[in-house]
Amino acid sequence: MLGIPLKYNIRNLFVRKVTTGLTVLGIGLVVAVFLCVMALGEGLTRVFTASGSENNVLVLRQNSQSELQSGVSRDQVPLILTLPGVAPDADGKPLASAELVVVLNLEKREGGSSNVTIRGIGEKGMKLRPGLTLVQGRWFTPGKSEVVVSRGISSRFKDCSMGETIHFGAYRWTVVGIFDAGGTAPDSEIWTDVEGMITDFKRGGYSSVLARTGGRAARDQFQAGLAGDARLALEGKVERKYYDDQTSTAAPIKFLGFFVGIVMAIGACFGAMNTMYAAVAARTREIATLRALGFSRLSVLISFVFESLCLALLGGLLGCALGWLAVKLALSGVTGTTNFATFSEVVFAFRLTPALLMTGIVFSLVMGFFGGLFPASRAAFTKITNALRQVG
Amino acid sequence: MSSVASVINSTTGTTLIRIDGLVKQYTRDTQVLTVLDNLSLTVDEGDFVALMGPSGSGKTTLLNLIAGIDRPTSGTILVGDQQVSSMSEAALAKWRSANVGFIFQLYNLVPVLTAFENVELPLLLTNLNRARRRKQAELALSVVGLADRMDHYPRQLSGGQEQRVAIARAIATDPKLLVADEPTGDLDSKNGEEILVLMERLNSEFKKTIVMVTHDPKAASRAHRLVHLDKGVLKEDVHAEKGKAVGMAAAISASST
Amino acid sequence: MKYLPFVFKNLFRKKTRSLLTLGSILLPLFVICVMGTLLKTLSRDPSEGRGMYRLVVRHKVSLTNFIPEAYRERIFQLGGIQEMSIWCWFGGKYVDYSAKNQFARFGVEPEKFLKVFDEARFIEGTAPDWISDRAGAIVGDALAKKYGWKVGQKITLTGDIYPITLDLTIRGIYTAENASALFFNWTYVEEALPRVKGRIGTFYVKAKSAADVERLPKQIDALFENADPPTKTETEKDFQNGFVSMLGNVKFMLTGICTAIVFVILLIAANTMAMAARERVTEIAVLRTLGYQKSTILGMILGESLLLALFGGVAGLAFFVLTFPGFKAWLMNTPMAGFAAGIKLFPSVLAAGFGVAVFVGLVAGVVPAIRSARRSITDGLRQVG
Ligand SMILES: Nc1ncnc2c1ncn2[C@@H]1O[C@H](COP(=O)(O)OP(=O)(O)O)[C@@H](O)[C@H]1O
Ligand SMILES: [Mg+2]
Repeated sequence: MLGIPLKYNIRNLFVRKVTTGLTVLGIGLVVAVFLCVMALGEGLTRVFTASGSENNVLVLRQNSQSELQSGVSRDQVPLILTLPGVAPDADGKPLASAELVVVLNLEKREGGSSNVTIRGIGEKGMKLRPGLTLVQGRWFTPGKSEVVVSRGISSRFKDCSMGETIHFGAYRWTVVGIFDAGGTAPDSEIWTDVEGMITDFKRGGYSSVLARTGGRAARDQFQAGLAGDARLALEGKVERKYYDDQTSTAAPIKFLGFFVGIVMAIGACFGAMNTMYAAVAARTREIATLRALGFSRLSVLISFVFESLCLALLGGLLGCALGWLAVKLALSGVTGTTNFATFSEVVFAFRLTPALLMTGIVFSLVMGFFGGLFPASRAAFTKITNALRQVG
Repeated sequence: MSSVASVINSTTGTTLIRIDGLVKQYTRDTQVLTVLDNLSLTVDEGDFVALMGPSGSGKTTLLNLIAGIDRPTSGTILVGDQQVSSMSEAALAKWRSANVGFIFQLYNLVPVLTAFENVELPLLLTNLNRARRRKQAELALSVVGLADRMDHYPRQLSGGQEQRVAIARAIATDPKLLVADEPTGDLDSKNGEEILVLMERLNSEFKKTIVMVTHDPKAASRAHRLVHLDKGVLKEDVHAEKGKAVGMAAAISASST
Repeated sequence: MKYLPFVFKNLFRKKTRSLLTLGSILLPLFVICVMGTLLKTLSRDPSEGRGMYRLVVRHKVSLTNFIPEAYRERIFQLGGIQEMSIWCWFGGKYVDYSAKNQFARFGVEPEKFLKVFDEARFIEGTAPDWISDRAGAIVGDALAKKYGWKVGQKITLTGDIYPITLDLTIRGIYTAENASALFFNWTYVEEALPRVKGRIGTFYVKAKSAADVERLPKQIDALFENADPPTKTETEKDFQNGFVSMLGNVKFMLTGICTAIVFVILLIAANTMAMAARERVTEIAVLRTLGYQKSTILGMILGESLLLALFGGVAGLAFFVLTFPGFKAWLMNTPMAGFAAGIKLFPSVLAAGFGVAVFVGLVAGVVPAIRSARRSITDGLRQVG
């Protein structure tokens, strides 16, 4: 079977500059919108999927969905830490931290307010989260009403810069350091010393206990130990899974992305179809000539579908470029939303991953395929004799 | 340019068109193409002039200038008492709608409109109400013998019929002047003949002044006057009885091919 | 106007193209309506300007902290208060934690609640039925419809914040502006969990007049400024907007999407108009030969563009309006359920959609219209085809 040279189609696209341009731009915008919304969802998802360790177990009150709803009393802590499976630190003490989590309603720099998680950690708290780095200042000194703030919170909330003091009712905390957790959950938190916090907030106990276990078997053993003690009424969740379970926070955004993307794609597909119908109409004689020369219907069909795919691919590439630019320039900073599982702010950045970009390209090709199929079959099934007589 | 001015004057009657020192040049990049070179011509009211000449000699250009859809580089064109060459574009459009009917080689009917609607197009520009427009369009269509085809679309008509609708459109506003650019150029001889008979009738019965560009000596023979244009210059002007014009026209067309 | 029939005929000259263009205006406009409705729902005043005079009192630190029920007496003494009710977020799970089973569940004091939330109307069951059943609950009609609940039916909520399982009986179905929550008698929780007694999430306060609404938040918060805990009092509207603000820059995102969509429609419509004008070059030259003014040609093409956009736009709006109930029901089963509960048809959103159509129609036609009008007649006539 003879194939029509593909060069022929590409040239034709460039001959019809205006139409090609407008269609490419239309498809590009649709792809760009889709990518931006999905990059938002992706960034948010990453916070949860990249957070937590497989070897850490978070001890919560039974049935609690989050640390905020949980409670662990002071006298339960030693019982937890003596359960088998908890890994010891170099100093021989269990590598675990009893923590208190409270949310504060703080004012955003851009106006409005949101709930921010403030976490009191024990002395081993840092060691349990090795991904953390201090980017400015120093860690807090226990007992001194000092806090370290994540870079994300620091940039989004008032009074959270290095050296400033966070006022809250009667409470005062001085920001002595800024940390970065590489886009994971602590990036949305303020950290301080747990004992000071219990005093400040007049709490009777902790919210949770985070414990390191020595590998899979030890982890299972520890979890089983917790479940086995009915008096405790506690349960141990693998830290990684605890965060994974909150991924649903990103679900509405991803849903919105797909909804807008798909409906708009159908719209843009119609636009591409228009362009392709016009292209076919303008070349009726040409097509008939090609057919008269011996090219098969199938090669005409393939030729036009290919042309449509090229058109859409240009749009897809443009969309990726636009999306990339938007994410790099306009949406480069961190943003936040409320995680309704914990009722507090999650800070995250748009993430336009290579996989997403590929999705954008595939998305555009699907538009191109459907946009080209019907016009191409019209082209393939034009009667040679009729077409040759047609003027222009 | 030092070519001799070609001054051709009609001999009888009142003058409808007076062209003086008409020059039309096209500038492409730096090259200047002189299509019409210092041309003068008068056409009497009620005359039927055939304009002949080889392809590219500037016939269409001259016709466009007379009809006021193009502007001369220099020189004047007077049609009736209007200085066509110096009117504003808006005034010119208004003038055309009332004073000139244009007939094209390819009919140029609007495909989505019926014969009636096509003829009504120029009437929409007048102050006539709907009923008057309808009457006028019907009248024009009956003159060309297509009153029964009013509601047909162009694609449902033959070439000859399409051209007759186009003629009806040209005469709908009852202009004094009709200009036709190869009106039979796309028709077979039978249909062409019918169109020419119609043009003749418009000239004799309805007193239309007609300027018609044609390649066809037979078509030219219908005219009262034959003007030959070559290389931007009016070369010949034959006032003739019909028979003589045929002979001349044949000779000219023979010599130009 | 006498040119209108001609413009209409031009509009549907290429049927496939016109239909495809209508489709590619209709769908994006539908999306714009959806976005606009979400945006509007998120930022609307729950009292809809009808002056419900409701205030929300909560712990200053955040919603997840509790305030003493004992504050009630001191607040009441400030005067100007019609009624106030405990209003506690229960959380918990219904069936499972999936998105389709998420809805708001509050513990309240039924008798007082009905005076505070006085726009609620029972469409099934009665107030006394509910008030007299300690384990009774009322549900919004939107919820009842979604889950097919009937009066008398039992439902189970498993607590997470509160370690208790509630076995509730539906005693009433109410309707209101946003009828998508479940309310039950807070006493049920208090009796089962003595340690909870006296510590509540929020108070909803119904003030007597607009002046009281002005005055009370400041006075209430001043009253507890140095108490432990301090309070934060807001109007119901500000309170709900606080949630929207917690969602982050949703407005920016939705507005951004809408703007991009407007451009997409614009490009598609402009493409159609450009193709239409290009095919008609000769025809337009003929019209001008007949004596049509440039301005008339300009108007005809702009008019065609406007009509095209209006057809697509009105079809999009009609599609949105007609499918709205089904669409809303569908959304209630998606991860958007939390946002979908309060959506309704807003005339202002439809008006904005119409405005978009007009805008697109005019802008898409401008360039082809000007180019067509400007092209010289002789050039137009020389064009083959
Ligand atoms: N707009 C234009 N630009 C440049 N050249 C033109 C233009 N219009 C006509 N011409 C040239 O003017 C000459 C006369 O054209 P035309 O009047 O159409 O000839 P005819 O009708 O006698 O065949 C031709 O050589 C043509 O190429
Ligand atoms: Mg010519």
